[in-house]
Amino acid sequence: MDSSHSNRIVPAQRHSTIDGLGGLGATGVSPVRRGRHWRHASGTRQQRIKSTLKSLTSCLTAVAWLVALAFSSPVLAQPNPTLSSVFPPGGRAGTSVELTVAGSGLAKLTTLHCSSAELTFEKTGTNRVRINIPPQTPPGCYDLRAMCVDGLSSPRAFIIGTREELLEAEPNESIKTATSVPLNAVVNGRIEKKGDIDQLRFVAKQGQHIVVECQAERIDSQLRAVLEVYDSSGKRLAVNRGYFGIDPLIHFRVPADGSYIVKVFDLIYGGGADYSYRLSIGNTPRVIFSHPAVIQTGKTTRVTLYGWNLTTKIPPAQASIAGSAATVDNSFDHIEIDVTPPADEGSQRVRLQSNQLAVDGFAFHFPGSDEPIQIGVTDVPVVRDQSANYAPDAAQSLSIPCEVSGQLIDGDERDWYAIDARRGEVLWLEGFAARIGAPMDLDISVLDSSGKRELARFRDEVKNIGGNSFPTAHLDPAGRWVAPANGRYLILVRNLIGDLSRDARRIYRLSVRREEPDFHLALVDHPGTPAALNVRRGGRTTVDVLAFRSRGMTGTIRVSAKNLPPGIQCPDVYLGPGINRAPLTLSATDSAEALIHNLQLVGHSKPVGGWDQEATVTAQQPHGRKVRGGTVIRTGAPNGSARLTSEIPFAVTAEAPLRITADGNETRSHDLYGEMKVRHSPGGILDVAVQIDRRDVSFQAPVQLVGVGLPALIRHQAATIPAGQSKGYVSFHLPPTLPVGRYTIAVKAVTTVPADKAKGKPQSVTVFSNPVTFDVQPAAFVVEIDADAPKQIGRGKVLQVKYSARRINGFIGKIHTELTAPEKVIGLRGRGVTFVGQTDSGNIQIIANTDAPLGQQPFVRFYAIGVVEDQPVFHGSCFLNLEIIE
Amino acid sequence: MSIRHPKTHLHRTWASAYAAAVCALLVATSVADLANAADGPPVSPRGNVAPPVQFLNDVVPLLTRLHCNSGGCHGKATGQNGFKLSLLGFEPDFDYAALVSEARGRRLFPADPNQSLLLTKATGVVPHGGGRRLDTDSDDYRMLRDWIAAGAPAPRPDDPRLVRLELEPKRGELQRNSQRQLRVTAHFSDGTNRDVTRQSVYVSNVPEVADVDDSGLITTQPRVGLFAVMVRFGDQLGAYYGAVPRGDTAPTNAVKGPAEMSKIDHHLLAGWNRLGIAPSPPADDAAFIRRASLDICGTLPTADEVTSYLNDTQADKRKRLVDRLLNRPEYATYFALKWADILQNRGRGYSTSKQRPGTTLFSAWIRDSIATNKPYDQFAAEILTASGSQQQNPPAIWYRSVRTQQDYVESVAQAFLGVRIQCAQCHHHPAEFWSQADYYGLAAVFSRVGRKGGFTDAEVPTNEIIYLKQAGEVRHPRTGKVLGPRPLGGPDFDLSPYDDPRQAFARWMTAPENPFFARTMANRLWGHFMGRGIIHPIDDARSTNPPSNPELLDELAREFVKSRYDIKHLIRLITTSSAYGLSSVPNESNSDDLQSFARFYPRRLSAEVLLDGISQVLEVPTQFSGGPGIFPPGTRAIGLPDENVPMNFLDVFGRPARTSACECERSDARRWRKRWNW
Repeated sequence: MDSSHSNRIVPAQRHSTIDGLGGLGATGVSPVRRGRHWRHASGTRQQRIKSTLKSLTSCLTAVAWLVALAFSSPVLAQPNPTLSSVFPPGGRAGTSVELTVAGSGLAKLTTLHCSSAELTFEKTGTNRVRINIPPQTPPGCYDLRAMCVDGLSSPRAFIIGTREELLEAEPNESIKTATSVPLNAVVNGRIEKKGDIDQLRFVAKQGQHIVVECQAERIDSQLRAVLEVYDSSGKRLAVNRGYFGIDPLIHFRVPADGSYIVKVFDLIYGGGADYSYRLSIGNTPRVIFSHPAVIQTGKTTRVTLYGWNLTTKIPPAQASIAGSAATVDNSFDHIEIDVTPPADEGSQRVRLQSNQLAVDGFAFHFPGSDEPIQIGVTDVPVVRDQSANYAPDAAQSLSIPCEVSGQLIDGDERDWYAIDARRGEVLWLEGFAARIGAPMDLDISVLDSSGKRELARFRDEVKNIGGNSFPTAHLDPAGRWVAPANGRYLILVRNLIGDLSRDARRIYRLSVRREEPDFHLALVDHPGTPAALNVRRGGRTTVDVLAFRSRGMTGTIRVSAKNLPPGIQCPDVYLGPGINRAPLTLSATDSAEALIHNLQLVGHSKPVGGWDQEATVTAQQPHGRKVRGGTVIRTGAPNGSARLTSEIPFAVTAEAPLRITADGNETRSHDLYGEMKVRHSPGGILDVAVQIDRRDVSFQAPVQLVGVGLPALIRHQAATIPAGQSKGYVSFHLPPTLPVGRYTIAVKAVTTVPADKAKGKPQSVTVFSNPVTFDVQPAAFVVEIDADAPKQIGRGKVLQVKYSARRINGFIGKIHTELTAPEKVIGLRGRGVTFVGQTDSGNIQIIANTDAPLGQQPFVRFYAIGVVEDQPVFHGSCFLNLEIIE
Repeated sequence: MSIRHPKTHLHRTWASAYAAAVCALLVATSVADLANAADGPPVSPRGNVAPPVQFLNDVVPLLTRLHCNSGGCHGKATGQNGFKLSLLGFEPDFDYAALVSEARGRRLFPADPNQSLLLTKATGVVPHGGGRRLDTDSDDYRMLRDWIAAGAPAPRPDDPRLVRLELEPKRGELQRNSQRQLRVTAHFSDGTNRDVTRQSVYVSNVPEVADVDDSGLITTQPRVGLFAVMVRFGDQLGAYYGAVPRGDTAPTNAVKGPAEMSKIDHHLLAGWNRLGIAPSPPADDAAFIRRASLDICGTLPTADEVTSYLNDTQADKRKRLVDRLLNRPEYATYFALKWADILQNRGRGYSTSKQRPGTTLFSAWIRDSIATNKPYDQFAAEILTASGSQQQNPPAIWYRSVRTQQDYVESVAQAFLGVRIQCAQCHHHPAEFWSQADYYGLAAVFSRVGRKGGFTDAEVPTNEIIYLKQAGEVRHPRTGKVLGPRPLGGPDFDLSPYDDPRQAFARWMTAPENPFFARTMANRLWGHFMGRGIIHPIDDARSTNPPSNPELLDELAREFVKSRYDIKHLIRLITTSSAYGLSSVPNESNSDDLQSFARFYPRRLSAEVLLDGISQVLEVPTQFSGGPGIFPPGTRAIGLPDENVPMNFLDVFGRPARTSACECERSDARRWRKRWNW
């Protein structure tokens, strides 16, 4: 159906409902209202009904077509496989488990991919795969992805544990039908429909300390779980609705031998296929956190682990229900243990949210427990808070740099520290609490030595550089402080969301360091929806790199790939001064093998010798910063979330329909100076040449180009390559305020490819170019056009435009000016002048021939070339914004 | 005569520390003392030589008495024809400026005082919208004239200040259809005193029992009961507490109590004897189990439960029944519903699916707190000091509905302190000691409640994080002075900038000696079980609305504090009292009694209980439409998470919208007209 059809139908329907118009709709059947009475314009009753139905059908078809059109024009031509659940969501090391996967775009599932390479898979059904977990696999959280005909899917969490694993079996809604489970087993279950309640029965002995824990939000499930424990008489002993954020946990001392019931359900009685959970009931060690929460790299440190069943000495006389019921109290067992941080970060294994990127740490597994915890690492000495530092006069002295691990058990507790600083000394203070799982909103103040006068106060990091799809804001404070004079200063640490309760989990890290710039990097799904990296043979794919800058890091960061397989390119990407997001592109050659590979990316700050000193780079920063993966779990408020992934796998898939190649450093051919290499400066124009490589000669539709990943200062710009042409330009003005540095952007191209024979519809295709990296160097002059210059020129007319090339940075050389464009505009000419000595302004005469093309000429600009010893060294330009009219 | 707010009928009048103090006095006073006091010596007339006229102690009280500064005249917020006085003269400095300095001083004319506009208007010489208020030959006229002639002296710092009022008598018993004259003596800071009977203002709280005129003459009516007369002079208040016993039919001390008298029973008995009312006989067992089950669990007893209770022959069967009921989950569910009303756990908004997790979490937290019998002081303190994410710390959800300065003050005052302090937002409370400084001082307690995060596509943001802001100040609306956080009645809390004022307030509120906290809860629960508070309405304690049995209320409050705020203990005390076990069938002496609990006052079941009862009897559970989830089968109306579960039945029978902390929002009048379409 063509669009004119729908145009015909829709207004007809609209007319028919307008009172008093009296006319017929196009179908001639609509009832027309006159005054207070409805009358049918013509026809018998049956005819009328038949026609009405017909009209309705046409209308519906039109609507359906429009809807189909809306959905059949995806942003990406490439289908995007998305995994919504894997069930069971976990398995025991040393076993094999058959999994069912669900999601969208999972056509022709071939295998799964796990962030741990040791796992093997065999397909057992359309959406079923058997997974073999080697016995030595360390416990923790892994990412599973589905590999389908269209590539790799977005991930879902998969937990590998050490305990026996069971599957929940319905019916189990009532106490009578409750499933019996042994202690120290994990039940993989699902609240599969709205209003579902799952009940499990276990037998325990008096005095045992039982920990009942439900993982739901932490395994990417939609379930907001409520846990309840009942005794055999039906009396509720305990309930919990959130312990790890919103995931619940109950621990209690068994009051008497007998059987107990655990109930799990959704807080608002929701349910569905994505409402899976892992529920463990046991009395083996469960570690919750460590104090200190951070240890120094390479240093064996004694830490206190907090949790339950960490010692076996439980006097039966003390057996009681912890917290008497209703809420879980915060009493813990402790155990002291020596911990050595691993030499490398290893795989992540602990689930981290998108805002936890800057928390360096490693997964630590306490022998005998089922789950690892995250312990932080730092390269500076770590000190523990002293118990007597609650007042200014008892402040604990710190030497800089250091990192403190402290605890604010009472809601209104305050920890005081003292430092000695010299006048002008710059310090960075950073707190970690919410980001290390502590239920706190930390606040840091710097006070004078009396503790009376507040000199500075550091609050939440509210910047959300990841946007809605990858939220990075958090409650932890950080900031820069300059000592106003030599002397002693106090640092006060407190909790802004303390209430009347005591909670040992209120643990924090306080980093006190000098201005040593640092950064962390993550890749985030480019479209802002769950996705994976799939690159088509002969094509490219784009993903965004996010940079979290800290401690005064403002310079350029380079991201480069390591150990790429043959046929795959991933050019370096540069995040220019202050830039925290840039597009990274992965390309595959036509002959690239179909494979899945983990992308290894490393970030470096600019070495002293400059970017081109590769040897220097490696010598100065042998490791660089590993780039972490990121993924969107869910979109939308209020439960949209994103997290980090252990690895960044990508797949090479089918052939790409077209490919574009962009070049931001194309030489310019000049009448006087020949081929010129353009030197980009603030106040100049960046021309990006775009080459379209159409795989099918019948793909000849126009291609729209738009820049992506532009620094905020650079305005967006679009251009179109006309049908049939394969080269074009998109140009960007670099504003005079753009900091000098190296930047990377990319170009997005949108076009349509002809109908697929099978589907019969033209397809909209979006592809991205290779990264365009360019250097912005200091300018010698800034080209400006008189603000009052005319914006239009008639065909056959001549225009005088005033302009200037304002000299800066002491440049006194000759400036040659001209009117130009990346692609010559036929029939439009301009004659510039040459400024010598101190001159820097003049008029240009613009002539439009009678055959000049009508319309806006977006990329026509004044171009100025600064000459040094007859060489064209400096370049500057400015768009003219000229429209050619009749 | 009742006190009406000048602007809106919604405005109510309220309670005080004074009421508490008076009640404390009454505890120490036996019924016999009251009888003696009734025949006390008359108040001596003014004995001192008249001092020069003082603005503060002479002029302002006169303006009050003549109603010049009343809410309908110059006392209203906009004044009257450009002349504005402070309401009831609570701000004399303001009034002095208005009289002497404003309008280019044209209101007073010291050179010829009789020509002062103040006097010519008041005497009607010049047309006056308020009519003629003064005679030229009256003492009041002469006093005003003398003051003007003396150059309208301003109040000076060393002027004697009014310290207190003394009433004579303070309390007493009156015969029906009799009269008694009150005498009021004002005591000043310089030790002097004088009779201000003629200058005072009088208001009775139950004019159907006893009315009072402008001269302080009380006239009792044919009806039996208790009443109070509020007396106001200057900025001081006093109250006379009176009883009008039957006298003729039931001789004092003739009523006998139950065989085993608890302290509660003693106080009830004393109340009955005081009025000469005989209680109805005890209710039968079937009535009692029904009553207790409905009041404690919001649930009808089953036939089996009733049978086994009726067959129980042991003496302590009522006590054991109450214990059994208190241990049932329905007890927590039913009282959680009540508290969810008071704490405004409101689900209404644009997007139920996004509000429901919060309301569910909060209602569940309330239910758990009640089920575990969390001490009431802890319960209240956890709500007031709640912080953190509303997704993770349920009591912080209280701050979802309670958002503004006004919400904070009024919700806290009404829910936990049992006082309605609303008036003091705009002016000094007319019937209480509450000043604007009290109102805004209490507001300052919450001035540093910060909010961040959350999403706002609903009517009210959800999932906010409540935290301690660095700064937040509250200014006195008239003086512009920054007010520090302070409890009702002051003084300011001593706090460092890093302290959360809410924690100091919670400590003050839940201290055993706090005059409001325990009493309010005791009264609230008494009201729940008896259908009427000892102070009624239950959240409107004030000196003009005294408790009908102060000793009883004090006893309950004392027991409550002693038990460390054990709510179940308080419920046991009330439900095992003789009054709770009385029949609702009135006898000749108590048929029009609504103050002394001499019979059980029948009342309609609340909407949720009624619906559940119908479902239970018919054995057809109600299906509630949920969203986004599905309420599991067997969900009961009393267990719904918020008021936004569509159910016309509940709306027709008075389910409240949870927009205030007032229990009065729950209506037991039917809303047929609006909702009769189910």
